[in-house]
Amino acid sequence: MYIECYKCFNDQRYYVPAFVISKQPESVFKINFLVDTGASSTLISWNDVPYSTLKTNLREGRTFTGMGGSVKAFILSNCSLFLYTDVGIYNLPVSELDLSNYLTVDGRLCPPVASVLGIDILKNFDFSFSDDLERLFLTRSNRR
Amino acid sequence: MSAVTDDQFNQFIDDSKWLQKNYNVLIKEFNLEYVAIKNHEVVAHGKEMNDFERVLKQLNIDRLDVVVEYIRNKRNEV
Repeated sequence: MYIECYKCFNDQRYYVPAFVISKQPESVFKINFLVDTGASSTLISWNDVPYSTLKTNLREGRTFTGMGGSVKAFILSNCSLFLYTDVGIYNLPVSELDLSNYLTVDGRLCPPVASVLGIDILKNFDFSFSDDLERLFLTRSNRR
Repeated sequence: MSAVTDDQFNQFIDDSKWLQKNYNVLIKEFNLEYVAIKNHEVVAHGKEMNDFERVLKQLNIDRLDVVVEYIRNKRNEV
């Protein structure tokens, strides 16, 4: 079973379309995740899920640090990531996903960056590329 | 909550692929703007998140029916 990721013609990086279903708050999101093995954790950007659209208060989670500064994350609980595979829709349950705040911890506006699919999820997949390098394939690994 | 359907996913993938392929064209017209894409067309756009959300509401567009992207030159992002 494999998932296709698509290369953006602008930055030459690979993105994977996914639906995220969260039970707390009860919401569905549609996100093109950047495939990022350098990210320790999967993080949904405020840019893809504006906090104001959630109409609820979320529990604060960890602080994440990147080149743009440090940002507090909010926690989405009991989530499922729906990814499209060669054999249909694959449901990957994830107990919690982090959603970044739009402000850094020192009060500056966080740049509008992509949501990232980090190594916490990518470690379950093997990587391969199409011959023309236009697509990246994530194949479910049998490793335990 | 209803599950995601094949049709929803196929539309999402199709518009996402179109977005990735046409990103450099979109930069020329919509640089530093949010865009909503449906069936290979930009159906809404706005410079600020709040303005963009207002436009979506005015046009009665659900975020789940479109692909949303903030258009910017991403070549210098790490």
